Amino acid sequence: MGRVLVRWFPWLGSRAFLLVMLLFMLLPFFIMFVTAFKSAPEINDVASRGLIRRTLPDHWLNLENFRDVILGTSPMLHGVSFLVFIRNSLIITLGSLVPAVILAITAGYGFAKFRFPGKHVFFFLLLGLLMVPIESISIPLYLVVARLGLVDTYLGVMLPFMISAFGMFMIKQAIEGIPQDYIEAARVDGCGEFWILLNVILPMIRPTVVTFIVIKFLWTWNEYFWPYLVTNQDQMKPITVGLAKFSNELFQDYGPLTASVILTIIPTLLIFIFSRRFIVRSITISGLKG
Amino acid sequence: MNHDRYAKYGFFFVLPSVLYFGLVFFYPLALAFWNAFHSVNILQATSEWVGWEKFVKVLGHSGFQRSVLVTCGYVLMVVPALLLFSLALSAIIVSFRKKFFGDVATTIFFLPVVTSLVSAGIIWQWIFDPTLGVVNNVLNTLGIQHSLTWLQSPNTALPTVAVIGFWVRLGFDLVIFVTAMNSIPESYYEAAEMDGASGFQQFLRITLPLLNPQIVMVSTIEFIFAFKAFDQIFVTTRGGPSGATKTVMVFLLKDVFNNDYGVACAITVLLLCFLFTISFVQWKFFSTKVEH
Repeated sequence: MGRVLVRWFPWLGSRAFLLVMLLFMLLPFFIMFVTAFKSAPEINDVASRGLIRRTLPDHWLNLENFRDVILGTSPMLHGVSFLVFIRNSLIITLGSLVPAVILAITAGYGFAKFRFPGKHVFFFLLLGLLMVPIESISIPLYLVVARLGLVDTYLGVMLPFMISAFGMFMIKQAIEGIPQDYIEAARVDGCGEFWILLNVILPMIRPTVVTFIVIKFLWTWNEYFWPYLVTNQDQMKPITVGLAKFSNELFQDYGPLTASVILTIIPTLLIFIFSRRFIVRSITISGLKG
Repeated sequence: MNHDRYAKYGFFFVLPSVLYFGLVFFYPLALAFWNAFHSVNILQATSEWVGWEKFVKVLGHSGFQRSVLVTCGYVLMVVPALLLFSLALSAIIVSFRKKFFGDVATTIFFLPVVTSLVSAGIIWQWIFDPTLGVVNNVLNTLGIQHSLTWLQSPNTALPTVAVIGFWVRLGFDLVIFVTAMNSIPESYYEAAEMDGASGFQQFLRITLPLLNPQIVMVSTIEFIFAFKAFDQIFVTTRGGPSGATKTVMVFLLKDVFNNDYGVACAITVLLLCFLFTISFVQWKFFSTKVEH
């Protein structure tokens, strides 16, 4: 009997521990989804309900909160539709993604397959930046952006996001794995260097590029500190800043607030579900950037 | 092989990135250093070298000292907890015979990583709401009437924001450890099994030593991430109540940025040097470990 207990306790204990932690991870998502479908009286009327009745919404098809958030009629939004924030986030994220990808591919190729004076100095300077978080440079960068008159513009928000040392590093690693012979063969055929990059190198590193695009999209979408610094008008704010602003009012209206969190999270969750493989890969390649 | 013919192409491929980095990172960096050592008079457009004056002022400022203490408290709560939990949970996940369950569990743990800290802060703020939140409701139902005001009282606010940070980061570390543990050859464990080592002994003697590089990497990443904690704190408590959650980043943005730009730059310089040193030490350590 004692032996059985000793054998089974770690098994059972570890399973129970895992289960509790899984519930802990899922709890906020559950609470968010239930609250978003509740009306204000439902949320505030706690005393007269049992635990279950007070947790689950009365009507699952109550879309009031979503309507208020999207139309901007929710009191905390002051008439600004939440779609404005989504639009801003999309512009900022996609707008900075394109240059970041182009710069990462060209620089990655340059560092991986060429020798030129100063290469190592450049590379280690860029690598050094990979190690420091963007937040630490934000204060002086703000001064630059202010001098350029880019406060409250999309370009101002996108400025530090249009380049990624992480992406450059990742793509350099991938290109280094391609045999030099492919490039030499193309050169012998008289192909230009840029043509080689586009038609020989790029098709071979496609998975890495996709991984970078996915991870970069998520990072920029979730960025808060820098966009908070450079945006003042509601019309220019991305989702994170918009959300944070309206949760900081004295009175917190959790129905519309959770509805807007759902609108914020859905794109990232969808991307995650469809590209789980890529995201996990990117983390295991190099767990850089927190 | 003569590469020099192509050197100029390589240079041109790299040039745009270097120039852009110069504009976005090196120029502000230089500006931060310059501002930290000069006192600037905007009206007369003059500036004067003041040496270490601003650093002395920052390091002697009680608000700054407090924020460093708060940040250290936050780091000490989050980082060891993250390491312990992610190691234990990945060991459990890897032990599943059916890979499917492990994959589902890993995916669930990773979900918070893709949500922003701002969203996480808002949801958890609602969960910890003193009167309407789930936590106090469940406690009340269980008969514990003494309801805590989690984010609103100085004693519980920091642990509560630490829970939010923990929730967001756990999956990231877990994925690193699960992948690393899966790549340890099965034969090591089989040999240990022959010698009669228990599961826990195998974890201590085989898994942990082989995971050393990942443990170093994860602790550095999480240290830096926790040290710059800002988003979920600024959203939930704004550094309050009475400064209990005012980390260095919150202090920098809330108390210094709008008042004294030079001092803000001095703090930036301190922060950069500190984080860079941490990264560098880790990088050195990490790269020597891999060679074994």
